[in-house]
Amino acid sequence: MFNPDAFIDVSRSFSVSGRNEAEYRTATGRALYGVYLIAREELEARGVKVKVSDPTRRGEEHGKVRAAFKQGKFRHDKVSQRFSALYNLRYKSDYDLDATVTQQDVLHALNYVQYIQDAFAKTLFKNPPSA
Amino acid sequence: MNEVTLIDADTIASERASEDTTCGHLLETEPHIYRNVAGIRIEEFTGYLLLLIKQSLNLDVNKQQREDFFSYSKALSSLRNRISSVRVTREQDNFKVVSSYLSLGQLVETYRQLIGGEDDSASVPPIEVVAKQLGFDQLQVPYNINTQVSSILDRPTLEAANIVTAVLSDRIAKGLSVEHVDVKLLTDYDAGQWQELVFTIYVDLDSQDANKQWDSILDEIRAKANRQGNKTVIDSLSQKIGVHFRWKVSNHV
Repeated sequence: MFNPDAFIDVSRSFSVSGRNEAEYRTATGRALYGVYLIAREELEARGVKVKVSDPTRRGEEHGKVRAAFKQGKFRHDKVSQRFSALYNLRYKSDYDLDATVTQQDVLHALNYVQYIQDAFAKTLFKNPPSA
Repeated sequence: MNEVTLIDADTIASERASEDTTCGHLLETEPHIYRNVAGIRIEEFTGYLLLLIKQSLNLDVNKQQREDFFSYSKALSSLRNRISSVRVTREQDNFKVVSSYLSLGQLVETYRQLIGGEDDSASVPPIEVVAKQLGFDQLQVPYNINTQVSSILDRPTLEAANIVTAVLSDRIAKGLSVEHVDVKLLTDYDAGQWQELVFTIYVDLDSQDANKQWDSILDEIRAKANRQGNKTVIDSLSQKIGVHFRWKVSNHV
């Protein structure tokens, strides 16, 4: 099974100076998808139904994961806002050709990811899912 | 639409187009002369563009047109800053300014066509109105608001946004080093199809202090909303408001 941490590793490897903008844009997107996939799997394992079986509606999973941090048992305002900031950067990186995506953006994205991962480890997903 | 204003703008644009040709010629043949006058010419030009923007606030322009000309306004601010620095720095940098100046000529032409175009009645409130709704008219730092945000501002979301602005204003008054604030509508089309009103707060702090301030502000916003006790506002705050921080990042190899 693929480990989404590898996406974050790719992002880190592209976060150094001297990379081109396509790499910085890629790094931002991979940072978001890495931590999003980790969140999706952890939530699902803990009984939050975030996965959608219909592949044509797979995009809805993003909304469900985001909603899980906005309300309910796993509500966490600070994590939710870091996710929001990541989606903001991801949108700029994937769609906005007029914008310039820089190393600064990638470093911010990785900082947001680190914050979320720390919150997962220390509070939200500290305990393993019950069998 | 105000025809007189547009005719005036046309006349000015026509005159400027003629002058642009002359300036372009001078740039090729007599750069040392042009270099000396570039700063003054750009001041005239930016003044003209500002006039157009100001006039357009009174015109019945549609949503996309407004978004476009506020982008131009932003570009203009950036150019103005460059002009200021160029005058006291290297002489050869004037060429970069001249280049920007000439491309701005095209930008104004596009803009002029936009405000002269058909009105589709999808107009949005002027920026001043949106700024006032959000409480930004009292904010003591520069800000940029994309008027698209008005489409998400139902009553509870507006109240939630006002809580954010109130907390932010208070923090700024108490010394939080905020450089500027951007407000925009974040729409995700392919990852859940959701929308948020996003405040991006640019602070002059390192990442550690910025994250502490970020968390602290989020706590205060939530506490303030809870004290007010309006559930629909609390829900809007959770569902529709984004509060993001950006800070100084030192590049690393």
